[in-house]
Amino acid sequence: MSHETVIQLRKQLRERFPAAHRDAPLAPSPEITAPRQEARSPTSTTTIHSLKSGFPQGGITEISPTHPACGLSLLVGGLLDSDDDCAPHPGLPLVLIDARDQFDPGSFSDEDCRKLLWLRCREPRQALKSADLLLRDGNLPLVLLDLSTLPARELQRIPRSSWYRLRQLAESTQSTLLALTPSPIIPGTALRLTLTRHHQLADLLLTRGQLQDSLEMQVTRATAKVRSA
Amino acid sequence: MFLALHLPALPLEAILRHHPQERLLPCATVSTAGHQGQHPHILHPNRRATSQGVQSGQSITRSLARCPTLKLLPRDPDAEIQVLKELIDLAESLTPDFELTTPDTLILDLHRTTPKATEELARLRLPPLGLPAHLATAATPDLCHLLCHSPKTSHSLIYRGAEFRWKAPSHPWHDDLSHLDELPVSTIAQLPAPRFPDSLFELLETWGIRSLGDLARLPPKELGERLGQTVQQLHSLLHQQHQRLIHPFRASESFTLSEDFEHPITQTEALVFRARRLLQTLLPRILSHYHLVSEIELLLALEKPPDHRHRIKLPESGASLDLLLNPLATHFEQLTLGASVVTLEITLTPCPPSGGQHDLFDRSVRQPHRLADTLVRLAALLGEDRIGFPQPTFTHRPDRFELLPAQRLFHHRNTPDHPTKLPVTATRFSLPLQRFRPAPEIAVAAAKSGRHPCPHALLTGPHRGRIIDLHGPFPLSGEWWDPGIQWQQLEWDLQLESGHLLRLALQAPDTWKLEGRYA
Repeated sequence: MSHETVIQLRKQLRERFPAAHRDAPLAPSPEITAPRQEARSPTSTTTIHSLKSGFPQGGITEISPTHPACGLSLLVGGLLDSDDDCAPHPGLPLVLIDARDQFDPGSFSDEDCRKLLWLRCREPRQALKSADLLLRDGNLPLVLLDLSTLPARELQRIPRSSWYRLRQLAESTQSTLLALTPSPIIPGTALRLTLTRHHQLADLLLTRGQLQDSLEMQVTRATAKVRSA
Repeated sequence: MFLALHLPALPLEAILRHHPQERLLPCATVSTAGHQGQHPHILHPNRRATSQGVQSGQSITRSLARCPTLKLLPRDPDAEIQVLKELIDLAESLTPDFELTTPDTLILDLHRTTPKATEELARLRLPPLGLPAHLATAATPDLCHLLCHSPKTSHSLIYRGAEFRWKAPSHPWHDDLSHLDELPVSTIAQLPAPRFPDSLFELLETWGIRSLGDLARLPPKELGERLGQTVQQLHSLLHQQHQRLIHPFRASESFTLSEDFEHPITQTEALVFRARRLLQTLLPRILSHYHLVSEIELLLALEKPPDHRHRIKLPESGASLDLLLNPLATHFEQLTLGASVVTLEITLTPCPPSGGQHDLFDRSVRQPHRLADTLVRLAALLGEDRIGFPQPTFTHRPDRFELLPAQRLFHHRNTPDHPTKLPVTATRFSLPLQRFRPAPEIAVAAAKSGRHPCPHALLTGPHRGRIIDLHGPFPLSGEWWDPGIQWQQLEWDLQLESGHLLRLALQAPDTWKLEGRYA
């Protein structure tokens, strides 16, 4: 079968069954493929749009800011405000494990909030236990663990074995654990990103979409598996 | 062969059977005030009252004017239900196949028994009920239903005070249609189906057709051509050519089971074991009705009150033992009770299997029951009020939201909860806030600038330093119409030297709070 015939056949299938192709890119779009190609370089930069479907399954992705106001919360917004067809897991909610109960529903629209299962923890131990239960369950493929507001001392108290256990669970259920931390601390992550743009007060006058477009991320670590994917 | 049992004026007789002497007086049941938006009126007058001009539907005033000694009785629903239960017991003792055609009429299928023996048996067992009755037999259910509405075509049990007697029909059922001459055309209105319009009766009246016998003697083909298929069907019914299947009465089965423990239970394992035993009994009952379980209601009676009640809504209906036992076991594991359990009661809510076909490409939870179990564990870990879907409330008051239960993810995801709310566009939002809960009180160096103060530096709190940039103040207030809950504050967005973007609030008179940070 010639290459053109295959492309034509794929196009017809996509038109006939659009729901079956939600996850798959329409064509080798530069937006989607860019991070994967760039991930080959350990310090390449990428954008939020390119990462929506690019987090490695069955592993931990750690995202940390380099400055206090790098737009870490924009990631939550970016994952929530996707259209159903572009969302990483359409039909399933995004789970936010909020380690310090600091998520503000008022900063998001009703529509976004409907897609968010919010777990309001009181302490890091509860957050880790919740992540353990959800990854063990495996029904919700994307779990966001927000530890970004934890002091470094509390983060360092988390035993390394806990991260290894979470990594094993994510691998066994092919779930994605997205950990937001104030600084890179998690061992054995499949992908580690660093937010580099420092927002100023004037940026509060910009809309969410403009802020998301300007978000810059640097890939500081990617495992061989992620690089080859 | 079928037997119809009709109890005339059942609501009245259900009351009078306990006071038989009152049958000798004119009395009638009345509707309660406001019933169906009507004034109180006469429902069922007895024969004495009817003979003095009291009729069903008459106003109370007019009835009392016609019969000053009329005794008015309100309906007694409990007494009627009791009569119906006794009637069903009686029918079940005669035949397993019977139909509760109307609340006061039963049709018994006598194909499995001897009609004569059944009729005799019914005549023996009816008098202890203390209710007047009509009994009629015929070859089809609808025909015997019609016959039982007239004392001329049915055996009648008649009461005079506490005494009763049987009266044989003057025109019993016969093949020559003569018995139908005693039934007025309007009797067909007693049939549950089909329904005939009043205009049909008026038309038949103009044709000179006054009894069902007259109607039965008309040529069927011409009758069908003029009045339609329904009347032709009625014609064939009168000629016993139309036979319908009866709808057998099946008592509603209870899906509740409880067990009292001789020795109070304190261990989870023992409770799970007992729950398994109860479910093993309840599940076959559900399955025999071709139903599934949608909810489990649990009641644990404790040695010391209050009892523990819990309702578990299954994410997907099902009827396997493990599927029902797992959420119960998880609930028992998370449970802390103040006393030992003395009674366990489980109620299953049946539901018909869903008839919809799953969308081939629609994403849904792979193992909903497992996820439901995980959500219960998470709720036990964090607290019921700390897991769910946030829903911002329709107010400008900061940090106000509802938390919808996490179990709603099993329902349709696109159904809006508050469709009438103000539509919010994404352009309204900028950098999301991370809110400090509770907002810490801090000391702020501020200078008076016009009506409002102007903060220059944060002196205490988690983020301290000189303010290098500032937006605000943004005055906010609300619920001013209620002095108890009214609120107002000033807000600033600011940037510190350290680069932190923060939201600062001033509440009257001079309480500075750090609301959150933009991250």
